[in-house]
Amino acid sequence: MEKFEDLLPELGRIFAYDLERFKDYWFDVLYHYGAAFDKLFYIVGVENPDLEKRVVEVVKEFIASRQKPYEEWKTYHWLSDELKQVMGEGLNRTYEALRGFVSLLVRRIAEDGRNTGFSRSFYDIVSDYSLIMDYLMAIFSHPDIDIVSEAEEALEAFLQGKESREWLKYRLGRIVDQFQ
Amino acid sequence: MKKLHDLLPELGKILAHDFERFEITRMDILMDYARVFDKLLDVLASPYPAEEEASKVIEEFLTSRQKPYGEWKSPDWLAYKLNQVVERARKPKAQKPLAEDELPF
Repeated sequence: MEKFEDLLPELGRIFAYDLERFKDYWFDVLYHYGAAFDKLFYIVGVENPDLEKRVVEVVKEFIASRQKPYEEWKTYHWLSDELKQVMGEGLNRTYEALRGFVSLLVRRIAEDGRNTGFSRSFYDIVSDYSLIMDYLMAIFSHPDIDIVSEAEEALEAFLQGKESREWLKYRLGRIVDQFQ
Repeated sequence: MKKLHDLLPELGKILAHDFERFEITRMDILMDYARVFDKLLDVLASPYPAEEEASKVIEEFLTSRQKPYGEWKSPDWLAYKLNQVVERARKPKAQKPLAEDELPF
């Protein structure tokens, strides 16, 4: 398979060409290539071979279209949209895997909150769950299935009562550290 | 002085050149330029005027690229400088201190 990095010089040339040719639409060019570069970096950064393969296909199709007559050119809008799609495919799997846990977790938060008075421990509960939710948000926006299954295991252990809230907080923190 | 968008085609050419020349660090270059473009969009969206200052920074970057390699500015430098421009633009402008009877408390 062709490596993604090998396509960058050609993509760079097309970007430079578009900036020159579509000068009057410079903001549009800047905005969409900016978005495309962000997504490229993000998707390739998670080191998931399936997603990278899809990215290579998209970028190759874009470059190939530019060697055809103008009517058949793919636009930079197309590029940015397609990459968004690829990123979405990765994220959908993340959502799918974690969605079920969230309602259980929320129920648990409600129970824990009910079972304490307004005291130091109440503060701890709010602060711990707030961190746990932050970590989950970070994991949710990360299209890497390995990391997601680690989070799944951690949530399962906690919800089944095998591990404590502090442990879950620590464990999710470690998972997030891996990619942040 | 040139407007920000007049400098973009030259910036695009340098990006293409960097991808070509620095084969091993292409991913780093991608990240740096992605940051540069993010910051440029921040500049354009800034409620306080920041375009002029950003253009100066880009011009300094472009000029350095016409000098010997040792004096080149990197895209990382450019992203850093543009970030400073954005941060400066975000800060509310200095106001004169309130008089005693104007204090809110």
